[in-house]
Amino acid sequence: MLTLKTIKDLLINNKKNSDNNKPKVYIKSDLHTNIDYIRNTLNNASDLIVREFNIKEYRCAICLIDGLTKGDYAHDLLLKNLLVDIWTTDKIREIHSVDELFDALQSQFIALLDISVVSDFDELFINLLSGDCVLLVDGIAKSITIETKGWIDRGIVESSSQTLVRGPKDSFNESLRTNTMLIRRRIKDKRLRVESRKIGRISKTEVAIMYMEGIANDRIVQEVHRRLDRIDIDGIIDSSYIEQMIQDHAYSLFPTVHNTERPDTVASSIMCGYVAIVVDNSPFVLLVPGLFVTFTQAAEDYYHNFYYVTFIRLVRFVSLFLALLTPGVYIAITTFHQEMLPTSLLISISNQREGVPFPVFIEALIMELTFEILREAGIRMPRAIGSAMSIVGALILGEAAVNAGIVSSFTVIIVSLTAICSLIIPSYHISISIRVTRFIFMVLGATFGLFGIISGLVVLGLYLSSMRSFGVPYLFPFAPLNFEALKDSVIRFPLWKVNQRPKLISDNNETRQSSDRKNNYMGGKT
Amino acid sequence: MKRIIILILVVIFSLSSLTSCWGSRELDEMALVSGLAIDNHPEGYEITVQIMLPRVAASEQAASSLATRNFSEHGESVFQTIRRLIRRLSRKAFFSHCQVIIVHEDVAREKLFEAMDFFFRDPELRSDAVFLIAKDVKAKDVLSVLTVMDPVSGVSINKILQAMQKYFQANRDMNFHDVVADILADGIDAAVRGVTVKGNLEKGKKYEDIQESEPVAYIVIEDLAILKEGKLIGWLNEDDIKGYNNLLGKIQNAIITVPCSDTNFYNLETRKIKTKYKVIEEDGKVKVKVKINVTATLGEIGCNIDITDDKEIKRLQKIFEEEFVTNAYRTLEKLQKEYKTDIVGFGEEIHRQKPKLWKNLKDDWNKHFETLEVDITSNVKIDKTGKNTNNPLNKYLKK
Repeated sequence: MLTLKTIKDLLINNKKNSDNNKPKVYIKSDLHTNIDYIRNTLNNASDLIVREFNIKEYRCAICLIDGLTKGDYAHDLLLKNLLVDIWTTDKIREIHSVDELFDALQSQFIALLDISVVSDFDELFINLLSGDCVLLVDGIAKSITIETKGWIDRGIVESSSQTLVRGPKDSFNESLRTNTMLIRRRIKDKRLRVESRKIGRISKTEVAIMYMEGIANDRIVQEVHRRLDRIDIDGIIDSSYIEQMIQDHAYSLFPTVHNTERPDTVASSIMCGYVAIVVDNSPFVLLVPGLFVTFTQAAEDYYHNFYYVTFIRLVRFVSLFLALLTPGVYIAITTFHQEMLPTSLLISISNQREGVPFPVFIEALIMELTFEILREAGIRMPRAIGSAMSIVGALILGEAAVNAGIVSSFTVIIVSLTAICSLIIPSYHISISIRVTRFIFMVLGATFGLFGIISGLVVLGLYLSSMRSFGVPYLFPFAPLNFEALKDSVIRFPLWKVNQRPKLISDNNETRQSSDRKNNYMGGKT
Repeated sequence: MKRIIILILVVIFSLSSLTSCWGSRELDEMALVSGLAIDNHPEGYEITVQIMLPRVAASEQAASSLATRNFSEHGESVFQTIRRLIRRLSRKAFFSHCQVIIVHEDVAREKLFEAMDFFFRDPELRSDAVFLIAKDVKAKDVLSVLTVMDPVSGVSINKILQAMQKYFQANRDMNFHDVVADILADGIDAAVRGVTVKGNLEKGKKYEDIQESEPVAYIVIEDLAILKEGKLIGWLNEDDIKGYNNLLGKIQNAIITVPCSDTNFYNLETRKIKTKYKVIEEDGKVKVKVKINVTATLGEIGCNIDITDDKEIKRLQKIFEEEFVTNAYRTLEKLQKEYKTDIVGFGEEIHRQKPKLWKNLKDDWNKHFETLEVDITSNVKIDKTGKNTNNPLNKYLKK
């Protein structure tokens, strides 16, 4: 655990050294000087463990941060190696100098996979604080870093934000290594690239970019690298930090970077040419480019019958528009265009409106805000009082408000329809945008009627089609129109018909599979 | 950044000062009109509007209290009179949901155009409101009769007309919109359904009426008013309407009845009536050939006939063909000789098929119509005889 002071130190160091001419501090040959330097730099942190021991007459020391290393690796394997197993080899008897020992340590004595030699303290500290063991030998101005990272994580559990009925149930967790493992397990191809870097002046969070060499668009990959390089922030707490720092249209309400908790979504996206950004300490993996259509698709779409999925996707698009427009259109029609309603509907609406003290707009606004409050409360409140909340929400606000004549029951229907519709959208991300935009449409409907709604839609359409995500038009494949990519958009063609990867996203390798399944198994007749 | 802030401030200020919402009306600020009646008045017009009371009309109370109220005002002009209604309504009348417009026959005879001009002009009025002419009763009395099927009588009358158009008798001009279109068109005159009230009118206005199992007063749609050049000149009775329907071919599902003995009838349920017009020119004279094609089901048989016999069916078809043709001829004669008005649209048909010829006829079409030669033939096809292939009468009546 880093103390506040050391963080402050690091911060000051960083500030001092941000102009890149900081003098590198190299490891000295004297062991105790080195140990003292480490101790002093970390200000005798209580979780720093330094273990000194002898191999033959040579003095050595292992440094590690307690809790960040895989316990059995550091304690048992490494120490047992160096103190006990070493004597079973013949080599030990042939060692007559420190240099020979240092070489032998690298080549023979340490029975752990990943080791490297480090000669400056900056790198040593990064390794040490990431959970590696550092082995110092008296008389050598270098250290050996042994990979022993390992800590307790949440384990691979079922996704809580993107659930499904059929399909793989595993989801990412907070460990970067687990996350890349989950993706690797699904793509066993040598062209899968994992390129990582550390971002964050203080946090030094590991961020890995994963993509398929030869499928992903090079320009997009380079652009991702470039944007990640530009990030200069003190700490990355969650992948959403990265998202906000790299997305196009920084002030836009609509997201241009997709995120998911599901490894299957990431794997299939990578195979389509998308670039994944995995961030340590975050179970949400980013996918770029993030297009409008990707936010409306769920992982399960590919696991069910395509007729059903096409139907469900249509329902989704309809409810997307309902979530966006229903309150606005309701206000517009009841205050401007009463002639558009069927007579019997008008009678029943105006029956409910009689005696309601507020104009329709205010009434709808009250209910919409109430719902937003309820939703926010539902997320923030402690689980245990959930049932109390639903009683208050459903009974008191819905039922009683109508009985008291504060709102009409028709407005309650409209608001609940909108609420349900906004929940059907698979990506919470875009449903937030829709929820906010809805209020704009309510104002437009209340001031200009349907004319306002239509103008709003036109402006929204123009705005969305002007947006780009990493160079790819946001409304692709609708605008620009691309028939191959349309096969997997609002409709979904059967898997064996979608033979091309989406253009623009995967630029250089579009053929996905041989043309037709009928060559092989169609009909099952021989 | 400064510019953006200034821009936002400007927008907010202008939005708050231009309160906008121009033309916005809350539902509870308006009186929904479901029916409109225009009668003559010494001062000009007497206008009655039927206002729906949504609280009653939309709830279970509809069965126990009145869902509408009628308000009458009179004045010199229509618009002025309608505005005067505000004094009694406390809300502005809203005409977009007006279901029915009833004009008294005297108004239709004297000044239909003048009375209707406001409604042609005003964008609020729905063009598919049913248009009727009150016969023998005041137009406002028609609106006053309480109806049972629908608590709002305007809606009820509208629905009656819709159903009649499909299953009973059809005319060209059911809606306000059609009437206007036909009055303005060349080569056709408008014909509008008449409406009247049967039974005890005074009692029919009272709520007790709809609590009786048999209403004491009820609305009847009957006869067809002929509007020559936009003025009522006479009526076609029920028998004439049959022929009119055959000429028009607009109704699909009608019942045609032909006597087979002194007391019994054959009934035919038509499923499709298609009337074709062919305009031909013979020695400089125009001639119209009308062919009425009918596909029908034998609906009810009152006489002894073997329906499994093809010959018998053919004989029946002949009888019905004759019926169609004679009815059509009779109505046509009445239109040509008595009223001298083309409400079927022969002129329109000539215009469509022989536009060059029409140029000569156009100016005094009604005169030409009087002497127009029309040749009517009919083809009836009875291809279904109902569920029962056997005729029970066949067995017993013979004896």
